[in-house]
This record gives sequence, structure tokens and C-alpha cells, in this order.
Amino acid sequence: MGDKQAVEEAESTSGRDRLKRDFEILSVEKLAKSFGGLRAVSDFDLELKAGELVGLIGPNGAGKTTVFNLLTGFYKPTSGVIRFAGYDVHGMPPHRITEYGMARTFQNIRLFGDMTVEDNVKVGFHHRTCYGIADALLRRRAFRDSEAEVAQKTGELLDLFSLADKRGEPARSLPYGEQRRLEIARAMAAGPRLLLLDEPVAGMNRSESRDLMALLRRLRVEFDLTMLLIEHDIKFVMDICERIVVLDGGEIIASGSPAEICSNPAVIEAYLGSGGSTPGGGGMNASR
Amino acid sequence: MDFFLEQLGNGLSKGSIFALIAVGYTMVYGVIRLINFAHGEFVMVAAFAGYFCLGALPPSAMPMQGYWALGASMALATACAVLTAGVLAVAVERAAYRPIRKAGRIAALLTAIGVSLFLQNFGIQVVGASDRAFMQERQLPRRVSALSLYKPGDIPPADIYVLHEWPDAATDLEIAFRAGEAIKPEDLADLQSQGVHMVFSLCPMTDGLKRWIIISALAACCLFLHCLVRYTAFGRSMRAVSYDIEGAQFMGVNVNRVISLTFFIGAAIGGLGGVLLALFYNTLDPLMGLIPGLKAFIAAVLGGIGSVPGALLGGLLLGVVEDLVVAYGHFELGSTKFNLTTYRDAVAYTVLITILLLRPQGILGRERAQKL
Ligand SMILES: Nc1ncnc2c1ncn2[C@@H]1O[C@H](COP(=O)(O)OP(=O)(O)OP(=O)(O)O)[C@@H](O)[C@H]1O
Ligand SMILES: [Mg+2]
Repeated sequence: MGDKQAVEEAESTSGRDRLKRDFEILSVEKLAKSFGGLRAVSDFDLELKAGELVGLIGPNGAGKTTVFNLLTGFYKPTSGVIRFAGYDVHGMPPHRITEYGMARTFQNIRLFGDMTVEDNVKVGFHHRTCYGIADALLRRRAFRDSEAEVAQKTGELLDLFSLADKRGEPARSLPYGEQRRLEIARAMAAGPRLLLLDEPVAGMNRSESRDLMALLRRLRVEFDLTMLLIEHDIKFVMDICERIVVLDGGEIIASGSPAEICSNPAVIEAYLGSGGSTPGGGGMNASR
Repeated sequence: MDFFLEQLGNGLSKGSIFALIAVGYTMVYGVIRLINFAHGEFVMVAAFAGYFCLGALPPSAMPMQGYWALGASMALATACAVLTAGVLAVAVERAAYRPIRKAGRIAALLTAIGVSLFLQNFGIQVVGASDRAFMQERQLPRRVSALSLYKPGDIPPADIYVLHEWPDAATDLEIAFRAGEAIKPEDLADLQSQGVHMVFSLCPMTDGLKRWIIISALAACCLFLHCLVRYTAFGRSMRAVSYDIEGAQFMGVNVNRVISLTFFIGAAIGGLGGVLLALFYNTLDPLMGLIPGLKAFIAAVLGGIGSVPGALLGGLLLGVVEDLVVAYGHFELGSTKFNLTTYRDAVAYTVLITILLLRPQGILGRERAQKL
């Protein structure tokens, strides 16, 4: 894929850093967000090393999605520092942060329902196309080459996500599981180094979620991705994540390997307290 | 039949102008759900920009002759109008709409009305309230020929004027020979003795010519918009922003830039409509954007606001319906005579309201589930 090239264009130094393992791709310190009087997130610290796959779990309303919205620049933090790929991204608009290499999916699917599957993915390439309207009007080389490249890469992504035969259909006509896959494909089009997945298997059946797990593992290796994922399906999280962070009431109550989390009394308490089953039980109620 | 075709042509050309203006309403509504009531004033400003450009570089001052000169001069005036409208729209969006984008739709609507009134009154201050002719006779394209080509007894088909110098910016046309009258030897000798070597005739702007200009401008814009929206990265971003303005940001779409460009293109096409409007009626004034703007807005709603093909269709339909009501408005039923001509707007809008009752989302509009 051309994401290496895009990265080089964006900033050459961190492009090299990325290849080093243990490079801290994301570091968050004392992040806090309040809505009026409600402290949705407070005192949130997180460090992600390049290539890690980390789970973010917690009961409903714990502030997980809010963390994603803060990281991607959709909400301005009340306080705290977010450094991504060595840049202080605090206060940057979401599209800039996406350019730096952070992409996301949404808890409630947010595809461009009217647009075709193919065009949804192509929108993800937005910041990697560089031609003006004049170029397009005159069908100049910049336009033709750029569009040909976008079409080719879109084709590759659609193949990878087994959506190639649906390319011309409007996104809203896809079955639920395929819409979830398309959201990830679209996020990948932005050429991310960090992928934020908000409940990627919500509403999927066992076999669909097993397929998605295999796909995520593959993406991680092929695209050298770092991932942070929110999921209510505890079995899924335990299987795929190397490290888990547990959020409750906007604060981190535990963090560690899946085994450590399973046996952590504070975590069990948080889940039992909110009426769910224990994380080890695997059957947490999904939000839908 | 000829009468019908004549009326249809007239209706289509008026409709094309509505359509061109309606595109701006619908594009802006599509991306930020704002009914930009200042759009009619962008159209007016564009018409004035075209008018002043035409005044500075009339067809008679072009280095070519006849309709080529008209084409060149109109192209310059149109480019000037289109750019002015685009830049004005981007500036207005930046200064007036962007700061209150999150303040709700009523605030935005009131701001748009404010901008509209401001531009109207600013226009009255700067150029005065009275109307002007868009193109004067002396600016019409010329066909120049040598005086020596004319012989006594020739009967010129059109008026022939004296050409003093090139380019000739004289305010009054000085007639040499009248159309349909045989040239008298003494007139010819008189001109020769005055040192006149060149003369010219004017190429008239016929209604038929205007119609062709207008309809082909619309066709070109349709093609442009279709390709832009379907096949370019900007078009995809615009559709994405229109569908989900917040979600699009996370895909790396610079929403502000897409909105600016949308304003630019919408106003530029409206600006083209403005020039054609001034050309069609051969008049312009600072309030000229008001009624066509309103009608274009209605056309956009009729076609389905937010849909570009809808706006084009709505505009054409509105133009044709209005015109046919006037053309076929007199009829007799039994002994009673009906004359609907004076009720033109009432009848036309009854038709349109009926369409909207049957299809509230407009002809090509989509029903959009209200997002919670
Ligand atoms: N824009 C907002 N305005 C006001 N309150 C908000 C906003 N966004 C989130 N909240 C509140 O912040 C808290 C955390 O919400 P968040 O969506 O982050 O929870 P979550 O952990 O993602 O929950 P779930 O598992 O249900 O998705 C909730 O109490 C929510 O009501
Ligand atoms: Mg959530």
C-alpha cells in the first residue's frame, strides 16, 4: 500500500520512527472532559507503543466513546495533553489529525449511506488526492493519475475486505456485518497508523466476529497498525488484545494483560455493580 | 405549433436562468442545510460585474469582428461576473455564516436575510437605484467594411455607421447610410471628403440568439456539475459532507474547505445566471436578484432541495409553466371569457404547490430520515 509514501510526505522523521518498535505512537496525559457538570472522562492516561493492540472496556456510559472523540479531535479536552506520533494534536480539527494517521470507526455505523461502497472508501483517500478542480476539468495528468491510483487502491481494499462484488451498491443497502467491515475499509483508506475501533463486532454473530478478528490481525501485520478498540464482547477482547484498559465513571480503574484484568476485583465489582456479568463470563450485554 | 414552440423556447430560456440560480441554493443547502437568501444578491452583484466589464471591453473594442467580438466580450464579462460572485460568496460565508454555523438554523437564516438586505442597499448606494440597459446599441458587435465597397445606388440591408477610429468608443453612432434606402452619390462623396475610410453595421442580438446562448450555458453547466459531483475527489467530499458533515471530518475531509468551494461554485453558476438574466431582459438594477432569487429558491424546493439535478429540472419546469400560463391563459368556456394572464403567478404556483402536495420532498428529492 502507498501509506508509507503518504507518511513520508506528511513527516519524514516519524515515518522512520514508526519502524522502530517501542516507539510511542500515542501518549495521553491527564486527559479530562466535562459536559456541563458531568465529568465524562477524568485523569485518563494512556500510552500506546507502535504495533500494540489494546482494548478499552467498561460499562455503558463509562466514557469510552468520549475518549475516542477526544483523541480524534471531535471534542476539545477540558484539560490534558494528547501527543500523537510526536505531535501535540491538542485542539487540532479532526481532519488534520486524520492526516497525521489516526482513523476511526463508529459505535453507530456512520457510512455515507447514499454513496456507493466504492465511493465511501474513496472519500477516505481524500487527503491523499492532490489535484484542483481545474485539473479535473481539463482532465490533466494530475487528475487522471491521482484518480487511477485511488481507484486501484480502493479495489485492493475492497478485495481485502471481501466487498469487491458490492462496490457499486449504495452503502445503506449492505447487510449489517458488511457495513461494519466497510467502515473499517473506509478508515483504512486514510492510511492510518493508529486505528480506533468503536465496538467493531457489536451486533455480529459468532462466526462474523471470528472472521473480523482474523481480518484485524491480518491488517495489523500487513499495515503495521496500532489499534485501540472498544468492545463489549469480552471474549473478543480477551482473545485479540494484548493489553486492556478498564474505564468506569470516566476513570481508569485497571489496566494490564487479559489474565490480570479477569482476576482484578475492581473490574469484577464495576461490572457486577452495573448489572452485567463478569468479564471472564464472556456474555456482556452489548449496547444494542 | 410555431406559437407553441416559440413559447416553449421562451419558457425554457427563462427556466434555464432559474435553474442556474437554483443550483446555488441547492448546493449550499445540501452541505450545510442553510437557505442562503443572499444568493439572489450574489446573482445581482455578478450581473453588475459583468455589466462593468462589458462597459470597459465592449464587443466593439475586441480585436475581432461580428459575433466573434460578441463572444469574446461576453466571455470576458461572464468570467468577471462568475469570479466576482464566487469570491463574494466565499467572503460572505467566511465572515457571516461560518462564525454562527453551530448557532442553529434560525440564526443562520436571519443572517442570510441580513446579508441579502445589506447587499441590496449597498448596491443602491454604489450604483444607484435606477435600472440600466445591460448592453447598449453602441456596444453591439460590429461588422466593419471599407467605404469603398459601397457604390451609389446600393441598398444596404441594415443601417451603416461611420467608423472614426479603432476601437471606436464614441457615445453616439453616426449614421452613414440608412437601411433600405438607396445610397445617394452626394452622401458618398461627402463622407469621402470628410476622410472616412471605414464603416460598419451592427449585429443585432435577437431573442433567438439569446435563447441559444442561455440554453447552451445551462447544458454546459449541467455537464460540468455532473462530472464534478460524480467523478472528482471534491464531488465525493461534497456528497460525504452533505450526508454527514461531522462524520466526513474523520475521513480527513476538510469540511470548511468543501463548504467554501461549494459556496464558490454555487455562486459562480448563479453569477452566470445573473449575466444571462441581465442579457435576456437587457436591464439590471440592485434589486434585480430579489424575484429571480425567490423563484429559483422555489425551483430548488420543487426539484427537491439538496439535489442538483432536481434544481435544474425544477427551474426549467417553473420557467415553462409560467410561460405557458401566459401564452394559453385566454380561452372561452361557453359564453364566459377567461383571462388568466394577470393571474400568471397564481396559476403557476398552484401547479407547483400541487406537485409539492403529491411529493413533499420535491421531484427528485430524497426523504431524509431526521437524524436524532
Ligand atoms: N456530547 C455530549 N454531551 C453531553 N454528555 C455527553 C456527551 N457525550 C457523552 N456524554 C456523556 O458522557 C458519558 C460517557 O459517554 P460515552 O458515550 O463516552 O460512554 P461509553 O463508554 O461509550 O458508553 P457505551 O458503552 O454505552 O457506548 C455518558 O454519561 C454520556 O451521557
Ligand atoms: Mg460508546
